[in-house]
Amino acid sequence: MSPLEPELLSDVTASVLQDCAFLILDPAPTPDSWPPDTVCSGIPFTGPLEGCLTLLAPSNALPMIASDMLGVFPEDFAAKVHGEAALRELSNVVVGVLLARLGKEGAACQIGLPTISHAPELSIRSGHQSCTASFVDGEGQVFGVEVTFTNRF
Amino acid sequence: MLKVLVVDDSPVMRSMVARSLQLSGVDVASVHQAGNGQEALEILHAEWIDIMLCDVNMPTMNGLELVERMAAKGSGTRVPVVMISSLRDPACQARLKQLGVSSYLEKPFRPEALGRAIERALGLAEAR
Repeated sequence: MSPLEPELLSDVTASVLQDCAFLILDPAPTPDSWPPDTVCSGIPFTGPLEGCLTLLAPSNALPMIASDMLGVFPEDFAAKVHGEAALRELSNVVVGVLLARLGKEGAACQIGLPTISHAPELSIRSGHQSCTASFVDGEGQVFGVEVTFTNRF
Repeated sequence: MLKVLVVDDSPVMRSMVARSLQLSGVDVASVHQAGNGQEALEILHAEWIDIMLCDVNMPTMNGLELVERMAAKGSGTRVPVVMISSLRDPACQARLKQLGVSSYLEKPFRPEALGRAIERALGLAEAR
């Protein structure tokens, strides 16, 4: 059984996205599949707990996220080119806060470097243990977060 | 006024740290930026830096490796360091403390927390 409850994953992710990127998101049911324009940042962690956290966002939300984090306008060049970097950094912060909330085991984990991919599928695989949370913003755009553990529990 | 070096592989994070510096009330003369530990060493060799704000997880040379290299060269005791990271690993923090880095700021952080961490690092440097 996964050591992570969906409510904790949802609360931590929403809190970090609000604090770091001023994103106000509401919990939403997990879709059957993520929209095709979804960009995801996957960040592995190792140690007492092993697995990967993936943060998902619509591609057209990335300039806005970057602009809020950089303090520039969404149409500025910096916001347009640093959207994926912004998502990578957010996934980095989410996984750090989340692991700290999982007690001593989580705090002792090493965090890897985030990587970007596109158009993901839900990653519920046999033998793995996953926890997923989904959100929508004020415009109905879908965001998500997924943690897959590869430890045996 | 301080000459600051910000070390982080994320250009977004480097900008956020620079903005937080402005909001923290710390008197800053200039901000240099590096994308990894190797670039940071080159800047430290070429410029006078009053304080380094450094991420832990970076490619090429991470923050812990950078501080170890600085300590081995003997320049680590000259430049105060604030580590800024999403990592909460007690073993990493203990190792950094052994290397003389006692100021560790966890992400996310507020500008005032950055200001306090810088004051702590500078105060510790003066005490040495």
